[in-house]
Amino acid sequence: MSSDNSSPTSRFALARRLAPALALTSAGVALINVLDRPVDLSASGSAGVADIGGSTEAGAGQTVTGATVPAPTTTTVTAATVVTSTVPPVNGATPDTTPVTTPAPASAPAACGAKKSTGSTTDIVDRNRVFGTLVVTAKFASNGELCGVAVNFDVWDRKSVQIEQYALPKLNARAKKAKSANIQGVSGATAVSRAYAASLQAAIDAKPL
Amino acid sequence: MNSTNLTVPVAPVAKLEQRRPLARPSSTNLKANDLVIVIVAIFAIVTAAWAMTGGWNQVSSGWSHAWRAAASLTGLYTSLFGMVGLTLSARLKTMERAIGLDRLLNWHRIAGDTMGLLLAVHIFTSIPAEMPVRGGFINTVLDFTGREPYMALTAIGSALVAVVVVLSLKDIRNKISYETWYFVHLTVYFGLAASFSHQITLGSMLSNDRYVRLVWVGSSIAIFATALFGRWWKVFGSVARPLHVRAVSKETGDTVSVLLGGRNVLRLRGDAGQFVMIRSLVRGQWWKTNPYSLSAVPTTAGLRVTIKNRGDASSATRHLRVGDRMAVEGPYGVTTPEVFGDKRPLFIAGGVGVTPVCALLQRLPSDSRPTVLLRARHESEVAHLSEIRALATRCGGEVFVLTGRTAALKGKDPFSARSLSRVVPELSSRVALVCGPTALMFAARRGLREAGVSKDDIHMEMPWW
Ligand SMILES: Cc1cc2nc3c(=O)[nH]c(=O)nc-3n(C[C@H](O)[C@H](O)[C@H](O)COP(=O)(O)OP(=O)(O)OC[C@H]3O[C@@H](n4cnc5c(N)ncnc54)[C@H](O)[C@@H]3O)c2cc1C
Ligand code: HEM
Ligand code: HEM
Repeated sequence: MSSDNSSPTSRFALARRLAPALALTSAGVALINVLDRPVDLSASGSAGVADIGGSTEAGAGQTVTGATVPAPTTTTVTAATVVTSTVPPVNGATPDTTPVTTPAPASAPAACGAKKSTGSTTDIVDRNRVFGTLVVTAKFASNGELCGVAVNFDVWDRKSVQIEQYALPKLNARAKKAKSANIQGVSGATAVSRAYAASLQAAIDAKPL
Repeated sequence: MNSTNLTVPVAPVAKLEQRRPLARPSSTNLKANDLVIVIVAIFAIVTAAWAMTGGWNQVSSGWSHAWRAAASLTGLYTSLFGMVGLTLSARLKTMERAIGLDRLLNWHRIAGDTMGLLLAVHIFTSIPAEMPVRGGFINTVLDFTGREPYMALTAIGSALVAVVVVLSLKDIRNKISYETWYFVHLTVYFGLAASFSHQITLGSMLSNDRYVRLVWVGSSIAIFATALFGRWWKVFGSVARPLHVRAVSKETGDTVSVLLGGRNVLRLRGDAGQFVMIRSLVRGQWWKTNPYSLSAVPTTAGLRVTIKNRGDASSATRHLRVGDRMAVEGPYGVTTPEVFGDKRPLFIAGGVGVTPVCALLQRLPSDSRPTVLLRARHESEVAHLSEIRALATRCGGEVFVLTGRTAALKGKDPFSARSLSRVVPELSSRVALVCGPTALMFAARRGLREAGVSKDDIHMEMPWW
């Protein structure tokens, strides 16, 4: 015990006790500045999904409760898309790594897309929550077979953007393979799968003869 | 004492006939149970919101969904426990009056520990939850530490929360000084604020449901602000309106009593059995606060505290001089004379734990017949002993002083049910108040319970650090 100390406390007592807290806070602030390297979502929108003839638009940042979220985002994803695994997975938007075989434009330029039909604009809904809308454009070969799909989606939060960018290439691939709207949903993306199937069915129903 | 050695507190500076007790602390109908119910209800509401906004569906639809659902729910709970802890530490008046500062802070500790555990679970579930959409483990970790917007803030904020929780573990806490721990503890405000944004940008529930989000953001900000300002308002208030040292007197070899008075006393409400947080506004001491029990009924003449030399802050009280300013927060605590009801009081106190006993005895009716058991190494070490004897006699009670070193008492536990019933008549129908070192409090509680004293009739202020 320091009971016989004549001076009440040593001069550096406060500094010594404050030091750990200050060091921790400054290290924290410094680390945040070093670590914070957010990847721009609008860039990832087009990097993750290369599309032919589609327009990839990312809107201006919109403020959602204090957080800047680039939205609304409209992205076109087409089945005529080669997504290679060389595209670095950027910021959550992991592209579908299974390459979707493209109908080689050179060998059969007119084969796919001879006829086109746009489906209904469908809400992406989970229970009562609407995340956005999508609209599917189906492409048909001259024999009337479904041969490609392009999707435009418009969603309101960045999480949905990620899910859409993950799920839509898969759905496109599945639709092309099944040649119908009778496809299996993508797990983790039930709402968009449902909307996709509905819009695609509408597009097929409206197929120009 | 070399410096201004002064009056005996019982004959205070203010004229006796002019002093009257301070207003009693406000009472509240709020009970501990009500607080628990509110907390449980909040958790139920949030869980329901989580389930209804898709959480429940996710659980039952495959692993990757289940991970996400778990990440979301544990995130919500982590945050809720943080908010509960924040609210408890704010020492809001009604809550403090309901359960006392000691229990508020002990509950706060439980909330804090739980928050720490949940945070770990939250992090470890959010990684598998996001791995499928982020391209594997490494990418997920990289995203979570800075590539995803706001996640650098979140990661550092969480690290600060983790440091605070770890430093509060008993073994680690005991190795560092109270103030070092406290200053680090304060960084948790920053940690909590820093980890907020990601809840909105990433949370399944919060990023998607507008109304839920509105309520969440609103109440988070409200709670944070209430806690921060509520807490610091009291601190600034106590510094802006300090009390002044009126008298210092030596009680025993290592205790001094200090009478704190002045105009600002009239703003306080308090009663015997309560304690105050004291900050000496003198050089080298202004940044520390320490809890001390009132050792006399607080009156307009002032608050008396009796301080044992235990370390830096308490030893510095010996150097106090008349006129020094002291910032006082409180009084806090719920062991006021009302706890005794119509029953016979039993006081068990160790060391400087006699202080509240001395104050409470002053407020007992003359037919209350209290029994006072004091534990000390030697009678000369018991502060205010003659005062206590006189007060106890006045209301028909008895005082026993158990002296000797604890080691010498080995085998004869003075607080076993048998020893207690031997000295204390009508033991099982008493209301007991226990104060002193933690070990003594536990020993006494055990003995009292075994002797048939009901749990509600045992009162003690558990230390919270
Ligand atoms: C409800 C209550 C009533 C008390 N009443 C009295 C009393 O009437 N008279 C009396 O002499 N003592 C009383 N104490 C004990 C007193 O608070 C400590 O002795 C004092 O804080 C020691 O501080 P220090 O800096 O001198 O000693 P240190 O050597 O720094 O610490 C000694 C011990 O006190 C703890 N401590 C230090 N500062 C604080 C703080 N701000 N808050 C909580 N714990 C702290 C430390 O962790 C350590 O265990 C009471 C404690 C409580 C909880
Ligand atoms: C894990 C164990 C924890 C323990 C044992 C603990 C203990 C304490 C104690 C004893 C105090 C009172 C300090 C004083 O005024 O002297 C306190 C204050 C406080 N605690 Fe904790 N705490 C813990 C975790 C947390 C966590 C996780 C949070 C974050 C929510 C938190 C936030 C706070 C805040 C904001 C204060 C008020 C500080 C002030 O402004 O004075 N604590 N804590
Ligand atoms: C490094 C630390 C952390 C990581 C990696 C992390 C990660 C995540 C992730 C990935 C989500 C989205 C989960 C989902 O899909 O719902 C999330 C949501 C959330 N997190 Fe954290 N988090 C961390 C720290 C914290 C802290 C400290 C808190 C609390 C203070 C917290 C509270 C929340 C909340 C409330 C949500 C929203 C849940 C929802 O809306 O469904 N997180 N976090």
